[in-house]
Amino acid sequence: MQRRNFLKLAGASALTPLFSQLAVAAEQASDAWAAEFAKAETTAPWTYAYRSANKDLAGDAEIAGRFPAAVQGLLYRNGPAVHQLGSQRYHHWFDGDGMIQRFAIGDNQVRHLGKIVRTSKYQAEAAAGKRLFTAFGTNFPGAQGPTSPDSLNVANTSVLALNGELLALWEGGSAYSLDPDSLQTRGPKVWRDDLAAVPFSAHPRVDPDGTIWNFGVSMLDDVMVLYQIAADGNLRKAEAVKIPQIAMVHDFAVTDKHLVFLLPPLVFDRDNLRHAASYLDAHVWRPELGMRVLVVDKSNWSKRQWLELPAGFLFHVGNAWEDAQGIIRMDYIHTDQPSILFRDTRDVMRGQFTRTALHHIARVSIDTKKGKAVQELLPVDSEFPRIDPRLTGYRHQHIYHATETQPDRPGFSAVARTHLESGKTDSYSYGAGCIAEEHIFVPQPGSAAGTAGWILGTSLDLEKKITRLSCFASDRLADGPVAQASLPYALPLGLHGNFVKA
Amino acid sequence: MKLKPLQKLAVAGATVLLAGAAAIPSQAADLTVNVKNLRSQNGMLMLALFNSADSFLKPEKQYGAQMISASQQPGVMVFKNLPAGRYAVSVFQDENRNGKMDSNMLGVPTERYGFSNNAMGTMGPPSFEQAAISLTDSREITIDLR
Repeated sequence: MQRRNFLKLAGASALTPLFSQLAVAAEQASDAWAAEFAKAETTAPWTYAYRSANKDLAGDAEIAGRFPAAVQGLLYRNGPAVHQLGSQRYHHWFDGDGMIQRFAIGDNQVRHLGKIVRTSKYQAEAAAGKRLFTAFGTNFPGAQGPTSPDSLNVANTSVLALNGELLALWEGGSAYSLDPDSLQTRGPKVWRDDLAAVPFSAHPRVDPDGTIWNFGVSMLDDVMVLYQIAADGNLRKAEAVKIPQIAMVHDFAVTDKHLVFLLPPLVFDRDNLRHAASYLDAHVWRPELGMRVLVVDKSNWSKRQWLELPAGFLFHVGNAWEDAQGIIRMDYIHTDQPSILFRDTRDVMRGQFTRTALHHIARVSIDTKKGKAVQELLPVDSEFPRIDPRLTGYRHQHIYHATETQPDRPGFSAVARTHLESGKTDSYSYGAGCIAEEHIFVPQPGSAAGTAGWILGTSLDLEKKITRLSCFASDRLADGPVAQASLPYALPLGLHGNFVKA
Repeated sequence: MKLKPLQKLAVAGATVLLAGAAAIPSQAADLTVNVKNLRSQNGMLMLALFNSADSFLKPEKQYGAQMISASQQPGVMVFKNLPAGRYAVSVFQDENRNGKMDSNMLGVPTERYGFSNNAMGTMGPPSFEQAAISLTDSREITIDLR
C-alpha cells in the first residue's frame, strides 16, 4: 500500500491553507450558536440533554428495588460532554470532548463518577481557555488544523475494558487509556510503535473466546487498518488494507469466520475540503456507489470479497453469523441517507429540533458463493442496537435497542427487545419526558447464551433534570425496571457503554 | 558555511561588488535556534536547514544540519556565517537514536518535531514559505516541538 512519507509529502503545501480558509466562513457563526442555544434553553426542556458539561462529577444514587447479583459491577459509558468552551459552542453533537461515566453498582447502592478525558487537545484548550483546534463538525477562526489524527482526538464515543485499563474510544485516532477506578487519563493507547495515532474505531467486537477485533479508517489515506487483539490485551496482528474511495465506517460485525463491513456511500472528498465549512462537510454522498459490503477472512486478511447492497446509510450494526450454507446473516440500523449526520445532530447544538429521518432494522443475507447480498427492512423505530455478548458472531434471536422517537424533541423514550425473525417487539417506555439512552445486555451467569440476562441502561429525565440507571429482566421489559438508581444530577446525553462484572 | 553562494554572487555581477562596495552589508550572519517543549531528554535533536522550496525537506538537498543531545540544556544550536537570504529550519527529536524521524504505519510522525515560525501543516509538513524566515543580520529563533 502507499505509505505517506511525511517528510517527502510533495502535495502537502497544497493542503496546508485549507483549514485557515474554512475559518473565514465560520467567523460569524460560533458565538451566534452559543446565544441561540442559550435562548432555546429557556423554552425547550429537551435542550438540557445538550448542555455543556465542563466539570467532573461524583455522587451517590437513590435506589428503588434491588440490583440483581448479575449486574453488580461497573457500568462505564462515554459521550460528548464539553460542548462549549468560553463563548465557543461546537456546531456538532459529536464534537464535544468525551466524559466517562462510571457507575459502581452494588447490592443496594450505586455510586457515580464522571470524568472528562484529559486528551492532549482538551488539556491544551483548557489551559488556553478557548478552542485551539478544528473539530469534526466545527471550525473556528484561527483554529489549528490537525497535524495528526490525535490532534483532534476527543475520545468521546465508547469504552472498552481491558485487563486493568479502561480505553476511551473515538474513531478518528487512538484509543485513550484510563485508570478504570479513578478514571484518570493515562494517555493514548499505543498497541505497537507503528500504530501510534492510528485510528481505532469505537466499535470493537469481542468473540466469545475473548479475542477482540477492530478496525480504523483513515479517510485521507484510503486505508482501513484491521486489528486483532488477544483476550489478555496484547496485539496479535495489525495491518493496513487499501480501500479505494473509502467511506465513513462507524461499526462492523464479526462472524466466527469473517469480518463484515458495510460501507455507506459517504466518501471523503479532498478537493471538497477546500470549500467545506468543516471536515464533516468535506464528505460527499455518492449513492451511485451503492452500499458496499466487504467480507474479510479472519484467518487470512488478504482474502477479501466485495458485494453490494442498495445505497443507504448506517451507524450501527447488531450482529452477524453464518448459517449452515455459509450465508452470512446480519442486521443493522438503516436509514436512506445521512441527513441525521448533517442536520439533526448539528441543529440540536443551536437549540433547534430537526428530525429528517427515522431509522429501521435491516436484515441482510450475504451469499459469498453467489456474490450476492440482499436485505429487507423491518419497520421498527430503532437505534443503539445491542445483543447478548455471548452470541457475538453466532446466531442471535433478539436485538435490544432504543425506540419510540418523539414528535417534538430529539431522542428516544423507550427501550425494546425485537425478535428479528418475527419482527415482534416488546418494550418499556420511560414516557415522553425522558430520553432513553443505549441499553446493554448483561448475561445471567450460568445460563445458556441467548437466554437469561438483564437490560441495563440510562435515561435522562428532562423535567426533573436527573439521570437514572435502570435494570430490567431481558424477557420482561414491559414489566418495568426491577431496580432503578436516580442520580442527584443530569449527565450529558451520551453514546455507548460496556459492563464489567465485579 | 559554504562558499558557493559567494562564488555565484561574484559570477553574477562584478558591478554589484564594485559599486558602493563599502556599503554592502556583511554577507555572513548567524542563525541561533532554540528548541523548546521537549517531553523527554532522550536521544538527539536533529536540525536541518533549507534555503529553497525546491530543496525543502529533501535530506540530500539540505543546506546545513546539526545535532545535539536532547539532554543538553538549553537546547541551542547555531548555524554560523550564513549568507543573507530566506531559510527554513526543521527539527525532530530522534528519541530512539535510529537516525530518522519515526512515523506510524500511515506516515504520521510519532517522534516530536517542529519548524521555524512554528509553522504547521495540515496532516503534513508546512510549506517552505510558511516556515521560512529572512536572515540579514544574526538572529535567534525558537522552535517548539509538537
